[in-house]
Amino acid sequence: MIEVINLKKRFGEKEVLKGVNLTIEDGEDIAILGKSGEGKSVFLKHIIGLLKPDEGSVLVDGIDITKLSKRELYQIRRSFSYVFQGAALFDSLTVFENIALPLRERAFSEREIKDRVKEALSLVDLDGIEELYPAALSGGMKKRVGLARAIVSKPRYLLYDEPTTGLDVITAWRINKLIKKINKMEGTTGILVTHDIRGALYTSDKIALLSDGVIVEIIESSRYKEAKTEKLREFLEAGGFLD
Amino acid sequence: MLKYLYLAARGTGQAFILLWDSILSLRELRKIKRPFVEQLEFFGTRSLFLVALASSFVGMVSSVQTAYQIKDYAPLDLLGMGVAKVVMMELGPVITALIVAGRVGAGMAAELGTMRITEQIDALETLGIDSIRHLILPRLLAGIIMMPLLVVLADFVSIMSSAIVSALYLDIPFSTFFSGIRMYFYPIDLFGGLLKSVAFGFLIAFVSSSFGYYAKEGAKGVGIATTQAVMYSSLFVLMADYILGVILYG
Ligand SMILES: Nc1ncnc2c1ncn2[C@@H]1O[C@H](COP(=O)(O)OP(=O)(O)OP(=O)(O)O)[C@@H](O)[C@H]1O
Ligand SMILES: [Mg+2]
Repeated sequence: MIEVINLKKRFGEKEVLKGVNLTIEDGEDIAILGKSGEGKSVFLKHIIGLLKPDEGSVLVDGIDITKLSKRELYQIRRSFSYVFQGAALFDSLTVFENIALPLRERAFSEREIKDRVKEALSLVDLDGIEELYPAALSGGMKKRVGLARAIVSKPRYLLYDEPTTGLDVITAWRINKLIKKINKMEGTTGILVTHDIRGALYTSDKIALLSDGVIVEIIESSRYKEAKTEKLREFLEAGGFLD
Repeated sequence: MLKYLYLAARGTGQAFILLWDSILSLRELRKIKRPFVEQLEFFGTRSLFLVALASSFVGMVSSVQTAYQIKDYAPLDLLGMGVAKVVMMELGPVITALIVAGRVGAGMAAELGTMRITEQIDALETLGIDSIRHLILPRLLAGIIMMPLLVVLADFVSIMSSAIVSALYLDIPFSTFFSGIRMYFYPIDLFGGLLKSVAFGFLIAFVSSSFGYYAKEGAKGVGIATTQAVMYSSLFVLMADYILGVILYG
């Protein structure tokens, strides 16, 4: 379970998170919507400890990760994967080595690594590109390799930062289907950050709106029509889901 | 002005945290075998040719310069000795370090800076891989190990090219040139220079990787980090050269 309590973060004069509260139960999948620059990426980075808050805490299974040492944090991160907005593939490694890295760190056997990498690549429809370097891939392929790298270790928590932004509609929809499939797998908890409202409703049990530094509203995806706040209604309207 | 002092202090603080974390991660040395070998290769090969080329000119000009300086009051038999000393103690380590700062230092800062702004460093961290252990430590070790080797090469090339120029244009036979070197050779001349080069290798790797590791957003940030890496590496090399010169030979 992940509990975010009164999370605050500012960069210089700019207050980005102004007290975010959010609880995500095990096995639950939530999508966090928000306009560009609202602090979605900043929020997601706090959940895995890449950024430290000015105030507030992030509890992962009851442990406040904002207070952990580097080593302890690395231990907790073993049960997480993070899909970066820009894929963040390692330039100096082949696609195979990129995806294999999380497994190498966890001391898997060579045989198992081979099998798992192949399996992950085929899940994202990219069979046979093991020996290419990231520089040779298109933007969409990079994003999918980033996704493969995230799922290869079969983590409990998956954090996705705009996995479909900037992709053509077909590829984007394939990724949404894939995320839904991963989310439905037993024991995985997904946090998806996006401004793709359709993808959010499709992949996740709940949607939440981050606006002006706080979570404005959380609602079950199946009952989105009952959204109460003006801001979330506007978002749904803009996506063509309310009229 | 105050803002610059603040930024400088903060930068220095960050750099020392980086250093301290690298030292702590020495315990996990066996985990970085691969990046370490890569960095050794990067450090060595990237500047090998340039160092050799520059050193040959350093040797040649040393012959001419030394001959001009001593010809009125010392026999030219001593020229080999003079050149060898100045090359081993000073020119070999310093010129090599400045070339390496320009080539390898810039390369390190650009590479790490790019990794920072494309979130590759964050990606390592999310995988539970210590980015300092994985990226900084191999570079520091490679700097410490490769720099003396490059300087040995530089010393050798400089002295040989000096011997050749002396034989061709100053009528000093090889035998005279080298017996001069042997007669007045003190081990500290060579080892002092090599000791300096260890310090220079460390400084270049440390300064350049700090600037890269903490590069700011955007392609512009990487450019700034790269320029500053070269500038400060070179400056610190010259400062360290003076301090070590006083300690070793003063
Ligand atoms: N390291 C940082 N230093 C300073 N400001 C930052 C930093 N990271 C983020 N910000 C600022 O915080 C705000 C929120 O950024 P964030 O990247 O979280 O937005 P976002 O909601 O993910 O937007 P997008 O949809 O465009 O990715 C922005 O104004 C950004 O400039
Ligand atoms: Mg973002």
